[in-house]
Amino acid sequence: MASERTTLVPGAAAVGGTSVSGEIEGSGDAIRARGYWEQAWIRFKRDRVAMASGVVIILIVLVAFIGAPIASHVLGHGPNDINSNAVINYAPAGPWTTVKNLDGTGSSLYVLGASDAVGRDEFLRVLSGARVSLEVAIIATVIGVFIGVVLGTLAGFYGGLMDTVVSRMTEIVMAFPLLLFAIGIAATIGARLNSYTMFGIFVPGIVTLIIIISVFSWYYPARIVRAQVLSLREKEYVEAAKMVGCSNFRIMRSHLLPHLVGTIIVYGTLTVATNILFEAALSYLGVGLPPPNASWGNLLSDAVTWYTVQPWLIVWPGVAILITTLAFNLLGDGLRDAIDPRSTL
Amino acid sequence: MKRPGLWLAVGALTAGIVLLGAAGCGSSSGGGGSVGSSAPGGQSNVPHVNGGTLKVAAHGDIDFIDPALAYYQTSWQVEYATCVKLLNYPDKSGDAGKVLTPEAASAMPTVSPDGKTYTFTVPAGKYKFNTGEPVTAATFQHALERDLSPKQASYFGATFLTDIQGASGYKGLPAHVSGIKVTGDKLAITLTEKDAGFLSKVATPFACAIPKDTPVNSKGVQSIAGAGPFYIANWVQHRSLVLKKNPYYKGPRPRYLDEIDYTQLTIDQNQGTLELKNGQLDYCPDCVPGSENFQLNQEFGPDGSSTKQTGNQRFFITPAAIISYFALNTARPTFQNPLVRQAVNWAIDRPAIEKPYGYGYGTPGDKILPPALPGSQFEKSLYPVTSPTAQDISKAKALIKQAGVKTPLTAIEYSTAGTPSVSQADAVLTANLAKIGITVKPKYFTRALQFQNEGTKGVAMDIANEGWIEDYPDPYDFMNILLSGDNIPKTGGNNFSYFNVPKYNQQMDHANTLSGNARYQAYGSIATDMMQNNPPWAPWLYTNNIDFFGPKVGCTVDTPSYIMDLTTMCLRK
Repeated sequence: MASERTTLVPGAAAVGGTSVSGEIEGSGDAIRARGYWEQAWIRFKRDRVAMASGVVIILIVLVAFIGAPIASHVLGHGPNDINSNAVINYAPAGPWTTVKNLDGTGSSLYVLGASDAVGRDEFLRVLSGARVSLEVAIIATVIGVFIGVVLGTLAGFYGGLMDTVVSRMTEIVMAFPLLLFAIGIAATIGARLNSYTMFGIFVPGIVTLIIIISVFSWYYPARIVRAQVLSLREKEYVEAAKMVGCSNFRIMRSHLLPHLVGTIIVYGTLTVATNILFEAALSYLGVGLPPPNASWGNLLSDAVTWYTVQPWLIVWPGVAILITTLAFNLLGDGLRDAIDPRSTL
Repeated sequence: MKRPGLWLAVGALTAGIVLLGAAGCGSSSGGGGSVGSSAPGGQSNVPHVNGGTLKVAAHGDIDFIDPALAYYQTSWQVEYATCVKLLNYPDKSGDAGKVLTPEAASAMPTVSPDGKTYTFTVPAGKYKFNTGEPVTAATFQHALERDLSPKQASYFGATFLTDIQGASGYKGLPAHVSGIKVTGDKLAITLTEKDAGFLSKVATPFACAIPKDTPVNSKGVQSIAGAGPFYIANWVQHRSLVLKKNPYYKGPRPRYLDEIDYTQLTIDQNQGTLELKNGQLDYCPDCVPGSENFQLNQEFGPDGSSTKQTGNQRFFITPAAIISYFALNTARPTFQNPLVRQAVNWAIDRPAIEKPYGYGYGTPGDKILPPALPGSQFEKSLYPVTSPTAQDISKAKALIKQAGVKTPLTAIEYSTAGTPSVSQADAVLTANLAKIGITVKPKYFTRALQFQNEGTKGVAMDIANEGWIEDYPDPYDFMNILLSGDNIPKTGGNNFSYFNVPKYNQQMDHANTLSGNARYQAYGSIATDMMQNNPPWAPWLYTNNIDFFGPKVGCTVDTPSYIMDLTTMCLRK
């Protein structure tokens, strides 16, 4: 058996793994031990469900941000365009219906039928809803997780009064009846916030949803991060960093945060799924995106009106929500398994 | 006349959805063809049982059982079954149901030569409350003075009774109002100025007889005796309501049922419709969502498949005195110029705006006075009630050009949140007005907030998506209440177009002194002139009443003022 010379690679401890470099004696071939992230990637690649979920998410993102405008262009109408010809017997036209254009310039295919009593295209609105759902869920997650990581790290690292304040804040927010509180905020200041579109980047209402959801997304990551930092701050390398005179900020940034990356990614992925559902719930309850823009939640809400006439209208946004949340959840599970250093190759 | 009369949120009114802040009722046959067609007034000659319990639910709740405050359509429906008034409307549909008839009064009142004093004779004991207390002239004096008491905060007192002598500055019970006097069985009411519509006002449920010991309470009493055919035996706010036969009732109004049970007051519409279909419920005044109308009519309408098999029509569409309109704010730059408002009336696609509300919701129209309201016959139709043609759009564009305004104009629309049909109708309006260079920006509020904001003078709103149900069948209730410049308070107004033209104010005041056909003709002419030269609104629909019953219901009478008459309902044998 060949013996190995082992060298610790600087920074390896920071990601919780051990990187090994060396060469097999007598062979002359240098071998390179797998790094932490490389091992995680290999583990992740072996998880077919997680890989498939990742692909699905990429597809959804592409469909939402690129596919929707292309589909609009091909079909010749937008998601908010109305067409009374797509309303038959006072009910939305069914799936795969060809409908005369209002201006008499030919006809358009309504792939999933019309969404409502003014004949908007359900297919384009589901695609448009995907963009809204992803924008809201991802941005709200990023903001929520960022706030949570900052507060959790500060609380865990400094302890004392800082920890008490953050912990009590967390408990207070957790004690709120979230949905009712969110409805209250949306119903009162929501209308005013709806006018903010960040220079037209977002449709009206998205900023409101992002703020509301972010406000209720930070406390779980804060608690998780705090618990991890409480343990990490006692490690030898943190003490060593203190001894050589590193500032607290540098310790947190360079020696603690890298250990939290895995947790943050996994938690963030799962939170996106939760936030998609939260957005859908708010929109379903009428305090989400204001009309005429579509989100999966308000599409579902509107579809209830037609449940006896066009039950498909409940199915399309429902399936979209199901697939997307499932994909994010499975991806999160896969990432957790892949990043877990106790997992074996 | 400052307070909202019977308004119904067009917005929230998806086939009778939310009756928030609304009251008054409206419906009648005779006028305004209905999309759905049905026998107005329902059916009354079917074999039925005397007795039984009618199982009822409501979607939009009732607001109060206190007659001084109750203002929802469903509340007035209950009060029509439980109240005795000086004068009342008969339990009949169509024009017959619009004729004022003495009830507690022994005859129509005598009127003084100057037309300002009405004297009623109220025989004591002709009617009695369910407690045995007799209804007397003093009963009505108490009811009216309670309405006028500032601490009672009654819409009616503040809106319709202000012309009674001594009403202004009245401090409240137990003091008396100088213009309301009781001598034996005589009740004399003196007005400060002639008001030919006064009798209609005292026939509203606000002027219902109430026991003399009913306290002033701005939040409304929680229980109250009734002298009508039924009385309210139990009310659990937001939950349930039970009406029982008044054992002392000896009046002529029919009543077949022993009890009317409102098992739920905030039932989900879809649930309510399913329960009606399956016979678990007998009646729900506001349960049917517009999306169900077409199917229900196909099955249970006059020519429905089920109707043909069983002979039992269960789905009815009846024209009502309800108007849906876009109020165009004349106090803001966008719609200051009458030509721009005319252009809007030429450009909007009334049938397309109606479509989201469902089959049979109403008849597209362009008049201020709906056909079911007296006076409408004298108002001319001036704008397209079908989808506008290319010529109509050209005409609208030409008017905008003639107005000399710079396009695109921006119009902020106030509308009702949470109701898909409303936002979809707004989408049609937006598309319509975009064609003539007006960019509509809808803003959504809860119905109560929308109404409150729209009624605040100086509000940054250009279009109000509104509706109005009659308080009583008279054009005063639409014209003077909604369009008089004298009715623009700082807050709580309902002249949402902030229309204040002295010429029309004077004409409307004068019309209110007239009676009979001259009155209706005058109001019709004023409305025509307004819409032709200075339109304050873009009216778009004459709304219908839509009723769906369970299979056991036999007798149904859709009254003009109180929708479906609970008193005359019966159960089939």
